[in-house]
Amino acid sequence: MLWTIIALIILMFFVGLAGWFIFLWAVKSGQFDDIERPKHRMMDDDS
Amino acid sequence: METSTAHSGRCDHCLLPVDGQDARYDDYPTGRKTFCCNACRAIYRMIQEEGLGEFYRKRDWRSSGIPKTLITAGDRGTEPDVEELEALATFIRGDGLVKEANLMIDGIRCASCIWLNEKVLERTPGILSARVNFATHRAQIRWDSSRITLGRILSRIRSAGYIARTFTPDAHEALLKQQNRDLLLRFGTAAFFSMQLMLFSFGLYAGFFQGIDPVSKHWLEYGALLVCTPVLFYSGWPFLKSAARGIRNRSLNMDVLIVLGALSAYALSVRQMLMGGEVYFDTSAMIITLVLLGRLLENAARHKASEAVTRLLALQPQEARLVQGTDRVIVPAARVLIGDLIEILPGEKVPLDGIVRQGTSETDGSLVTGESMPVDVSAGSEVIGGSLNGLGSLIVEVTRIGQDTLIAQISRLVEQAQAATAPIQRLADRISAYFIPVVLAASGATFWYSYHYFYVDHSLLNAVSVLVIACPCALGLATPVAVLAGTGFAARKGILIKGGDILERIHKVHTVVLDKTGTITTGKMSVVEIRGQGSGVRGQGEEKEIVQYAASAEQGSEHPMGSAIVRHAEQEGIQLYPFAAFKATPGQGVEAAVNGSVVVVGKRAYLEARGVALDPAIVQEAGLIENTGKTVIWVARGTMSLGYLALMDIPKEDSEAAVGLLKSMRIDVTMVTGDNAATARAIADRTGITSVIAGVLPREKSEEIERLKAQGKVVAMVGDGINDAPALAAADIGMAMASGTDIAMESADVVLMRSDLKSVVQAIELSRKTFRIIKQNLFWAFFYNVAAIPLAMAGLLNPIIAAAAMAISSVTVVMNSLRLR
Repeated sequence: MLWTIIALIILMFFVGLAGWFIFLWAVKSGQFDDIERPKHRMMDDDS
Repeated sequence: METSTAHSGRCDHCLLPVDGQDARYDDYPTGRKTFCCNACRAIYRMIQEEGLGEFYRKRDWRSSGIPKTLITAGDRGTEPDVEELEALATFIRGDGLVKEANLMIDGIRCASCIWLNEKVLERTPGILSARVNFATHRAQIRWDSSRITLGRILSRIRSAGYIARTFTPDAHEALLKQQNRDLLLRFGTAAFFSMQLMLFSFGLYAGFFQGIDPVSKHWLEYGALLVCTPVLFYSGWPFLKSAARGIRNRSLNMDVLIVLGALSAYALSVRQMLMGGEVYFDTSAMIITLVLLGRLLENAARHKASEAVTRLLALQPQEARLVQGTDRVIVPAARVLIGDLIEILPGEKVPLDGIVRQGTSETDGSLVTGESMPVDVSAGSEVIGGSLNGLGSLIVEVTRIGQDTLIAQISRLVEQAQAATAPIQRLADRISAYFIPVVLAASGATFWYSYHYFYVDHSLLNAVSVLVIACPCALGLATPVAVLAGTGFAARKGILIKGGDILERIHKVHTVVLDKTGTITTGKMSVVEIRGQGSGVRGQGEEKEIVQYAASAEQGSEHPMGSAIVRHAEQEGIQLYPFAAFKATPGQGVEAAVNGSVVVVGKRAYLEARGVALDPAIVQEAGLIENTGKTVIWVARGTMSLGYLALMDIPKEDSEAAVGLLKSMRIDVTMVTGDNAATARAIADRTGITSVIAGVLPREKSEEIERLKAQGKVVAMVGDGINDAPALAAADIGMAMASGTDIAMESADVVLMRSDLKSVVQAIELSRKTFRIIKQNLFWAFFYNVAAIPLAMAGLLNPIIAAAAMAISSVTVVMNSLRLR
C-alpha cells in the first residue's frame, strides 16, 4: 500500500517535470512573445 | 464597420473624401469603385486580385486615410533600385539561402490590417513565414533569398497599401526582452515546483492531524526538499543577490525580508527533517513564488501601456538619397556627412537637418515641431529631419547629423528629464526597513527568554520560527495586484498608465498644468459668431446666407478655416451651391463662382483689394472681436459685402466641468500656451482657469514646470504636441492626449485615449483610490503574520498556522484589490 503511494508520487513528479520541460521549451521558442495576435488569428478564415 | 459602398463621395480604399476632378474609377463585378488617387486604386485592385477583398468588410478604421507618404509616393514606380538593396543589406540576418529581417510596418490600424499583411506576404512565392506583432507592428519575415529579395518584399507590402521600414532592434530593447523571458522562466519554474510541493505538503498536513508513520513522513519530507530547493535557489536567485546587496549597503529592503523568511524556513525545515519535527518547505517556496507572481503582474501592467506607444518613436528615416554629381545613391543615414547634398523626393521624410539648395516644396513638420500647418520651403530655407516633404523634390545640404539633429536633441532632452525623476521609494521597501529590525528584535528576545527555560537547541528553534512566520508572503502581491487592477480599470476607461509607480505617484499631484491648443480646446477652428452687413432687415435669413455663400466658396479649400466654415454649414443643415472657378491665395482668402456671382471670402485686405467696400462701423466692431482672440473672416458677393464670420478654437465640451472638478479636488490648474495673451485669456475665462502663462516657447514650458517643482509642488502636465514633450518629461506626471503627436505620447507617463479633460480627473481619482487600496493591502499582508508571531515566540508554531497565515493574507489582498473594478 505504502509503496503504491510512493510509486504514484514519483510518477506524478515526472509528469509534472514533463510539464515543466514543455514550459521551458515554450518560453525559449518564443510562444509568449506576442500574446495578443493569436486570439485574433483564430477569427481569420484560412484560405 | 465600414462597407465599401456606404460612402459614395469617399475613396473605396482609404475612405478619404474624393475630389471630383481627381477621382479614378474602376469597374468590378460588385459595381463601380471610386478612388482618390492611383495608389489607392492599385492597392484595391491588388487586394481584390489576391482574393483578399474580405479585408474591406473586416476592417474597423476609426479614421479614414492611409499613410500620407504613400499617397504622394504611390504614383512613382515601386520597384526599388539596385543601390537601395545594398543599403538594405545591413538589416538582413541569417546565412545560407534562408534570410531573416525585422520590418516596421506603417499604416496598420486594426487587426485586419495585420491579417492582410500576413496573408499578402505568405502568398508571395519565396517568403517562408511572416508574422506581424500585434502590439509593436513589427513584422518578422523569413525568406528564401534565391527566390525573392528584400526589395521585392518591401514593394509587395507597399502594393498592399502599407509602408515597411527596415530597423534593427536596439540593445536596450533586446535586454528588456531578455529580462522578461528570464522572469517568466523563473516564475514558471517556481510555479511548477510549488505545485509539486503542495502535493507533499498536503500529505504532511494530513499526517499532522491524523498521525502518520515515520517512514511515510520521511519520504514526503525528502520529496518536499527535492522540489523546494530549485524554487529557492534558482527562482529565488535574484532575491538572494538583491538581499545580499541590500545588506552590504545597509538598506533593509523588501528583498531582505523575503530572503530572511524563505532562508530561515528552509534551514529550519532541513534541521527538523534530520532531527524530527514539522517542516516548513511550503512557506519557503510560496514566498518566492508569490513575489515572482507580483513582479510578473507588475511587468504586465507596465508593458500593456508602453508597448503600443514605443513603436511610434522611429520618426527619422534610416536611409538617405545621396547626390553624387548626376547620380543618386541610397546610403544609410548614418553615413551622410555634413555638407553632403541629399535629395528628397515628394512624399518622403527628410532624413537629416539641412538647408534647401534647390527646389521648392512645402514640408509638414507637425511630428517634430508640433506646428500644424505645412511650411513653404525654397532655396535657403531650413528643413528639419523627420518632417514630411510635400509635392516638390528638394536638394538639401546637410547641416546637422547624428546626435546633433533636432530630433536627437529633443529625444535627449526627454531622456534626461526622464532620468532626472528620482525612482520612487517603494512603500513596501520603506515598511520593510522598519519591520526587519522589529522582527530580529522579537526573534532575539524569544531566544533570550527561552534560553532561561529550555536547551539552547529548543530556544534557537523558537527564535527561527519567529523569523519564519514574520515574513509576509502577500507582501510581494500587495502592490502589484492593486496596481494591475487599477491600470486595468483605467485602460478600460481609456487611460493608459505606463507602470505602477506612476499610478502611485499621480495621487500626490497638486498642480495640473494644461496646454491650451488641443488639450483644453479642440485644436480645430469653429464658427462662433456671424455678423450680417444689413441692420437686421432680413434677420435670421441673413446669417444663413453668409454661411451659405462662404461655405459654398470654401468647399474647394483645404485650409482649416475653410473646412470649419463648411462644417458649420453642414451642422446647421444649410444646402450649399455648387462652385466653380475656385482660386485660393494662401494666407489671404479664396474666391469662387457661386450661384451666378463671384464670392470672395478672406481677410479684410483681400476683400478690399477686390474693390469690396466695408462698412467702417462693422470694421471697428470686428476689431473689438479680434482683440478677444477670435479670427474674423469677411464674406462678399461681387463687390457687395455680406458681413463676417468670427472663428475661434473653442474649448472642448467637458473642459470647463473638468477644471471645476479638479478645483474641487483642491488641485491648482494652470494653463500654459505659446499663443498670445488675448487668445489665452479668452479660453481661460470660458473654462474658469485663473492662472495663465501665455506666449511661452516650447523650451520655456519645461522651465515653467521646473519652477513649479522647485516650489515643492507635485506637477502633472497635460499636453499633446511635440513642443510639450520636454515639459511632459520634466513634470512629475506627464499626460499626453492620444490624438496628439507620437513623441508626446512617448515622453508621457500616461496616455489619454479619450481626448477630454475628464480623463485627467478620472486618472487622479483612480490613483487616490488605488493608493488607498495599496495601503490597506500592505496592512493585511502583515496583519495575519504579525498576529501569529506570539505563537511562534511561545514555541507553538506549526506548519498549519504558517500555511493558513499565508493563504488568508494572499486571498485578502487579492479580494481587496478587486474592489477597484
